[in-house]
Amino acid sequence: MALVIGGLSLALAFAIAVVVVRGLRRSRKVDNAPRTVEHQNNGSRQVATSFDPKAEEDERFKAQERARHRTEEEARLAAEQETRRRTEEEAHRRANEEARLAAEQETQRRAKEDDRLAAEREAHRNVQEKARLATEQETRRMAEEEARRRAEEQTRLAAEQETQRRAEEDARVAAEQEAQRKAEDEAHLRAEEEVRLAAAQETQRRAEEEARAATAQKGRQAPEEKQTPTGSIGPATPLRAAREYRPMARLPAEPREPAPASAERESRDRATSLEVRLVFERAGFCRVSLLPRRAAGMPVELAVRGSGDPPELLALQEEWYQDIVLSNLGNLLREGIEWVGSLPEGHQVRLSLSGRELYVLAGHSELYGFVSTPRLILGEEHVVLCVAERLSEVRAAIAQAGSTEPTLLSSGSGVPAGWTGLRGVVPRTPIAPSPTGDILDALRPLADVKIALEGGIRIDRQTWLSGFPPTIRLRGDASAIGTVIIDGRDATVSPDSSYVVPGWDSLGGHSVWCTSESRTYEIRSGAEDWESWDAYNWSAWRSRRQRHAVASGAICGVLVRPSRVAQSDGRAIVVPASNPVLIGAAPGEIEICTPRSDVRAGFCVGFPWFEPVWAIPAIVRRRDNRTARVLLIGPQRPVAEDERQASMHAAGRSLFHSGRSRRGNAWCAAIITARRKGLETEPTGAEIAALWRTYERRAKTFRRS
Amino acid sequence: MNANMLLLWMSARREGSWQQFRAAIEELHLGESDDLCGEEDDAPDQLALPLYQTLRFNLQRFGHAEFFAGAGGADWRVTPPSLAVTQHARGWLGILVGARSQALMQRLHAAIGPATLETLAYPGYPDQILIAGGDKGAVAALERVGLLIQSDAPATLLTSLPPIDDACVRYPAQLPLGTDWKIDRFSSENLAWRSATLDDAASVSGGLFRFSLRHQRHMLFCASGAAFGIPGQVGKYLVLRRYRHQILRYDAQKRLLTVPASCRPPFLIERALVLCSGSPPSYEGGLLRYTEIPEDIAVIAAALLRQELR
Repeated sequence: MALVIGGLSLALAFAIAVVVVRGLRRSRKVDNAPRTVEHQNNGSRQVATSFDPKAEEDERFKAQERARHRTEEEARLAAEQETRRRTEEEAHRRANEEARLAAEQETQRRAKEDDRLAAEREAHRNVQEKARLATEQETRRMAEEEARRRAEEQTRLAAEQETQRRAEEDARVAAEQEAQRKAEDEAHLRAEEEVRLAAAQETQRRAEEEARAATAQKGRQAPEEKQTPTGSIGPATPLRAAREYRPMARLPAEPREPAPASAERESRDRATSLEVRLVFERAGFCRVSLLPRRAAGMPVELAVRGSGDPPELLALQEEWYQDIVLSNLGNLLREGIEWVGSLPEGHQVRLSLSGRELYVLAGHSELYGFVSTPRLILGEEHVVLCVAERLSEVRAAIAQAGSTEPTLLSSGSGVPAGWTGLRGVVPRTPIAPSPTGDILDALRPLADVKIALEGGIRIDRQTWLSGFPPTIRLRGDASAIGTVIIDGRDATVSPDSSYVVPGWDSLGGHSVWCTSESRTYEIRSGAEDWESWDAYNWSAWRSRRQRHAVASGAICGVLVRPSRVAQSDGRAIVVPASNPVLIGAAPGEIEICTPRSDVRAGFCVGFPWFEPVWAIPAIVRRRDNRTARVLLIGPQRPVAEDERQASMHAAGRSLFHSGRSRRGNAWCAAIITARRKGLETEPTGAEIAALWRTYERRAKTFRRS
Repeated sequence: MNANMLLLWMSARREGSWQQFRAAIEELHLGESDDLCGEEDDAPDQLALPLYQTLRFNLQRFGHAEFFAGAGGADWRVTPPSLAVTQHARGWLGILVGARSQALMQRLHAAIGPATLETLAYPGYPDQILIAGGDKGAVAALERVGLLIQSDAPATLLTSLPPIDDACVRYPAQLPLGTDWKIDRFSSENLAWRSATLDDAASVSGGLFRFSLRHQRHMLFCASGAAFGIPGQVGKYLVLRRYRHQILRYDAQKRLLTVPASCRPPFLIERALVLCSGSPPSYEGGLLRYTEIPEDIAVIAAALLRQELR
């Protein structure tokens, strides 16, 4: 651009210079011409002056005309020069302008090109970035999917374990409750029996007395009417006496056989429990009530009768009836409550609360206030109700459990008469329950101890391999756990802090129990039969390479077996490539191994269906009998005199019979050819050579036959 | 805990998934054993093998179990108890391979007869149980305890394998898309991985490339714009063959076969080599040494690897 502008400037300057020089020359020529004329005119004038004034005047006029003409010419030239200069300046200006415009356009073009390239690069980068982000998102999604799947699996496993644990716990609790109920029923029946026996004895005694009196009066007066036995008519449904709570030792549930679904069992009425509920009200008052459970199938309204003359029950929610406040609740809590009602179908339903001197109440997930619970739970807040006589024992037990001093609630604050409440009981220390069962066990929280089954070889969820059982340990504060029971027997602690009993590692199912948890495990034998399979099958490769059907090998571990497609059950035999013909003990037992052509291997492999005895060279006639040998590769089996002695497998037998004559001839030909060549046997030895000769003889006789 | 427990666990279950295998290694605390360090295929590499892969390869190396493609539909499957029999300088040697159980081992000890049983422990491997006998019959008689006998196991295995340049050991593949892949190329000169580009892979006349992106890893043999998926060790020997680089060394007198550790033979060939002695290769000075290798086995192994013995 600069060069163009410079060139244009030089050309312009040169043109101006040329114009100026020409102008100067022209003006000088013009100046000279008039001057010459003037000189001429002067001479003429002088001459004219000397001759004529008119001529002199004309001359003057002409001179003036010439001067005017010259002036006009100069003015015209000046105007032309000015016009030319302006034209040149305009051209110069236009050239400059065009150059500037061209430069601007070039700049703009370059800027646009740069912008376009930048945009393209940006677009490309965006595409790559999007692809990268998509890949990352996909990877992240897959990872999240995997993590989610694993989490779900773990959750499922945890849920299953929790379900199993809960089922075991429920079974254990049910068993305990059942055992307790049975014991209570038994005690109840025993008491009833005692009462019945006492009543019978009393009746008998009275009857005897009356009989004696009657005998005494018999002579005095004749009986006017027959004696009627006394007794009240019972209600349509007998009402049981209220039960007393009998604390049970915390023991593992006995393994139970599944009970037969007898009609008696089905028809047996089961008591629905009554719970005790305490709700704090304003000004430090509280209200204690009975909360009947509503089992499945129980109506919304249920009329009951029994201890304390209860009102009709109204459903509070799905699983509970409205709580009941009775006037003599203090006595009822101590002696127990037994209610009975009739269901619409005619069945009877019992609601029962065993009487006791101590109740532990804790928060409930479904109900407001504090509801009765079997025992204190570590870290939870409780309210304890006890009879006044046991207050000191209860306070001592609460203190032993590590709770702060509770607040006393007297009967004036709403606690039933004869009872005391203790509010703010929060146990911190686990206490072992009494081995014989004690009402104060309810104030002994169980330790937070887990049973751990560690080590061994776990082959399934709760199953260990026989010979490699788990080690049973307790995790947590085991000092207050008391006894650990394995398979119903007290476990001993081994030197490695594990718990064992005789037979804990034997085959079968086992159970471990402690006061806070129970677990089961099984010992089982692992698999003892393993099968081979075609792990790496090169049959396709062999077929392509060798272009004929051979019993190709499939690899499984260290085993090389005929592949399934080969339909042979022979074993792989490797022989030197120089001796690829395998000979068995019976005529027809012959297999030719094909040496590999793709690698220089000194071996070839075959899958004979029989047990080969000899390996002989393939084309004996071309072999040098100084180096060629008949190799003994199997046991020294005598040659079979008939086909029944053939040593073939099932699949080989069918092959043998299908090509009997052909294979028999091949067997004979191979042996006879080797004989004619005079090949020696290897290993050397008279016994082996003699064995080979029997094969030769058998081949000859077989051919003749 | 050691790999014996792992093999017993696998034997008891017969087969399973990869997740179960990894979980068993965690549960059996095999990671707490510090005797698992040793040679790795690419030890200095950032992609060195984790523990479960090391154990997997160790089990696979001897044929105790097959994994993935060879596992018959499962992620892993234990092979039937077998005796790999070879003729040895001292007589006949049987190496116990495959599934084990306490009952099987008891039967084996009871039926050992005139043969001798020797147990060798190697870090990261199940105990190697070697049965030596003066004649083949003494070893083969153990078939009655439930063992499958494989005579001349190394030679039979090698004779049944295709060479590394056979088309059946590779399959057509596409070069991975995207720019985030870490690409390495195997150098035949220093037998190591060198950084490369996608253009290198697309334009090379023949080379082994490793594409790595997080957990993904592809081994591709690229030749004139085409790509083939191939086992890494096979690909290395394919590259060495292409550049006529001979790395196998054999000492006939010591019956010792030596290869650089970065060029471990493909695992089925290596299985045949370790079955010659019953012991895994020793690692020394960047070399793997396979002992008790007969010359004919070395020759056929070299032929399959397209190498010349030196």
